[in-house]
Amino acid sequence: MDRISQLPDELLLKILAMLPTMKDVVDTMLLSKRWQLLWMMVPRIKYKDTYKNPKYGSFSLFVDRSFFRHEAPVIEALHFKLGSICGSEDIQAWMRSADKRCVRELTINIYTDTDSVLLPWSLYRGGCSMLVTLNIRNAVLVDDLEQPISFPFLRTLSLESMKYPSGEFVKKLLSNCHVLENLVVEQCEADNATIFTVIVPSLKSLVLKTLENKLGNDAHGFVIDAPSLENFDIFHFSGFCTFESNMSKIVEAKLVLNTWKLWKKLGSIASFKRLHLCLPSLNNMYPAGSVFSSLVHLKICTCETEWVNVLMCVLKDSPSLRALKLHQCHFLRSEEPRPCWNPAWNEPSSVPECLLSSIETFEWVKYEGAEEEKEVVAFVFRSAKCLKKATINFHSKTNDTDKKLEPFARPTRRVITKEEQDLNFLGSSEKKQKTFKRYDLETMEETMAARYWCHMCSQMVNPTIESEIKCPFCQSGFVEEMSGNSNGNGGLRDVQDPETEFGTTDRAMTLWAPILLGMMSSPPRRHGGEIDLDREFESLLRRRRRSSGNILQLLQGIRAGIASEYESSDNNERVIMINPYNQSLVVRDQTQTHSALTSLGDYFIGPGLDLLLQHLAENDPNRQGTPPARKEAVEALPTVKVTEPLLQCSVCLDEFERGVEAKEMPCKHKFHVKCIVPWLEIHSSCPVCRFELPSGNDDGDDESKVVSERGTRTVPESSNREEVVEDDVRSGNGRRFSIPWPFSGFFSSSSSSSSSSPSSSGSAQSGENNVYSRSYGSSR
Amino acid sequence: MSESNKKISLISSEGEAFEVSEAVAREFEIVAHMLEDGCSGSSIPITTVDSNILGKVIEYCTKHVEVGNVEGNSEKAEKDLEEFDKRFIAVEMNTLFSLILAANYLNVKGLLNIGCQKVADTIKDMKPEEVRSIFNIENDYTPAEEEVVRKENEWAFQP
Repeated sequence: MDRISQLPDELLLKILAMLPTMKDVVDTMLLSKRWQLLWMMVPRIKYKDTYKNPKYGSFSLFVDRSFFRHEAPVIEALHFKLGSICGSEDIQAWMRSADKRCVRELTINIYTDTDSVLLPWSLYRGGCSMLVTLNIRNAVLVDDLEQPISFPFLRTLSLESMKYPSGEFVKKLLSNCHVLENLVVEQCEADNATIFTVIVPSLKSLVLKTLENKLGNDAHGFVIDAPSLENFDIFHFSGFCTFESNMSKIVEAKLVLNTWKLWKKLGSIASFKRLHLCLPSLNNMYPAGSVFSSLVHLKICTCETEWVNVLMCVLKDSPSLRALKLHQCHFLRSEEPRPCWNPAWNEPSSVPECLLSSIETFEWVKYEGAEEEKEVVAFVFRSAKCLKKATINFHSKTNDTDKKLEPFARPTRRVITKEEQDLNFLGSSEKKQKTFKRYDLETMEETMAARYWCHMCSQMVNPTIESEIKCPFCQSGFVEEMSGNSNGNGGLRDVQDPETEFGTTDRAMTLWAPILLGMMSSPPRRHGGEIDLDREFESLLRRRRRSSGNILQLLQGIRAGIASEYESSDNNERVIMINPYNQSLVVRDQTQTHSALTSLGDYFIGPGLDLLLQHLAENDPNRQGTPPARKEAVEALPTVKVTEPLLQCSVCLDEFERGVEAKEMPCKHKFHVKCIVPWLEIHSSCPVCRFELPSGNDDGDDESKVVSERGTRTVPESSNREEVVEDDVRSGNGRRFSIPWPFSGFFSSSSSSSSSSPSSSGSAQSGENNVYSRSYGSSR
Repeated sequence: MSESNKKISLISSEGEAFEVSEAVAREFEIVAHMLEDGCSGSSIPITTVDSNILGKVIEYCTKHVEVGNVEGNSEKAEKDLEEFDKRFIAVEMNTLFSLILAANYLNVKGLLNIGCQKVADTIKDMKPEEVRSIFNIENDYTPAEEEVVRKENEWAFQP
């Protein structure tokens, strides 16, 4: 049924207005008679000469004709993005034909360095006097009248790389915009406005970009009188800048400065709540005496050589700071050596007050592991007493991750890594993708607890304390203090009813270790039939304790996550993070951002984490997983049409659209072709149940391998996998979590994913609120 | 804030009641107006929308209300919401148009926008024949008529 043509005109026009260019809109006239005249009424018109019509003649003809035939009385938006093929005359002619219309938003972006496009001001009478938004880029304004036109409704004005008749013209123009709220000005060479005057009492947001290297420096500049200003971004590299009013309403500012002169003026504004700073080297120029009493968010760019000093100065002046972010948002400006850590900062007396009393989040983007960076991280962790969350994004220029992590390898710190692609790092203009590794650090309050956890032995120890804290058994320093509100029996809690503990404590992360251990040695026996299973599980675990330290921690994480999910009253969620280098697995608390309905599984999804898990699975020789499936076997898989409603592809977790084609494994699990084939090129097993297809190096026939319908699985002896997973099924309250395919490579049992594999959940336990079913692959 | 805890029943065309908090119901501007005018009780019939679609619209509004209420890391929240929208609107055409119509009727602006955007994204860069086949648009031009349209608008269809 043709549902689109049945939509009312109003909706079709809305859809047409969202098409990227007018060419796309005009093309729809051929669809059917219904569409023949619709395009003429589209309220947003966007012309780009760069996309399909490189020829001058055809493009200008297209604009002429389509604009001439266009009939909508109000044009919400009129955009011209023009390269070099159109000149002043074209644009002037088009502007004239807009005369009778009421245009609300006008954008003229000219992308050419050669000819200048002249825009006489007189063109903005008529239709354009109703403008609300005006953006012009790279054109020349021409003053052909005594008085510039006024724009009584203009709220947003952007003048980028523009040339003006004179500075006086600019002043008149802006003072005729009585309701202007947002102004963007980007200076360019020879703009004729020696002094750019902004006197706009209504202005709320101002972005100023001055030239990087302007000659005749001090004669050029800005005069700003904007008493209502709330947001102020300035990229100031040359010329002067004076403020006529005190601008005491500014709450958010981004200051990228290369001289201290401006900071002296702006640094006295106490109303800042959010500041983003990129300040020049100090040379003892930092003015004393400013106090940012309202400052809550501070972001400092690390591109300047002396950023550490600047950071320390600003921290001292910001007593109520809650969030600190370090970000290298520019390229490094010089190769000069960066100042080393000032030993004085380690003195308690010089620790800024905000570190002691208010900073809760700390984030570092593009951390590179240089000496001074390590010191800063160490300092922050040492002194920030209220820190709740720390995130560090690595710039993966080098691979010496371990070295970079040195400062964090301390007791009470946990290192979490997550590889991810950060596309936005260099701003939208830079399309190049950069890979970063993100390290999340969880810090915990240091407490008096005397229990330590040795990561090498995976057990609790009473460490030897000499020059450094060591495990008494393996002599390694990789021990972690188990902080916390442990009750009378130290870290080892009474485990008879573990779930009451879950979620009751906010700082329970390290406590999971003993709880889990305890649980394993004396598990809650609710099912008679499970005892043997438990014993076997336990002994298996003992044998494998050393290497299963990681998995143990993961289990803690899953348990903790489940528990917090279960305790919906509790505001904690935990995310499991995995370090691909040392394969430590860590649980991370999160302040709950959405309802408890969110499945823990959500946190396992994401391209970065998938990659990571795969990486992890492949890097451990014990966990190679199955060999690739034989090509013929993959090709032989039947392609079926999905007819069941709500069936999910367990790889991408999207629902199948009805009737879409899917590959069906012999075990009847269905997947998108694009999802399952790449997997089978690496492994021969079904991502859901691990049913194995004949693999490349498999000679015998695999037909005998059977997947039972009840969740217990027969795993071939030849399989390498023997990892243990704990499968928490909370069918009682209907809350389950699903683990997508990367986990199948590592665990012998998938957790119950109700929609994708109805057979895999242990239905025997339904109705039980707290049952730990354990299934595992047969050991060798 | 006792008001925000108030529950409101929205009744679908099949007569099924969906109980939602007032904050979520107010995302439907049509409902918000009704509430402001005081012309409705605690249950509001939405007679033109069936249960399946109404459920989806409520899911969308609930998510947006939740995220809107959380303070703090706005960048991340926005990203999450974008991700949610993207997944939410990835539905087959029939559902998509039902959602657009429902969003239009109920006046849920955000949903209407992502719905229309989805359709626009599907249309762009497509030849008219492709668009017709995707949306089952019947070409009611005779070949001669189509030729006339193309001829009259030659300027638009130059290669």
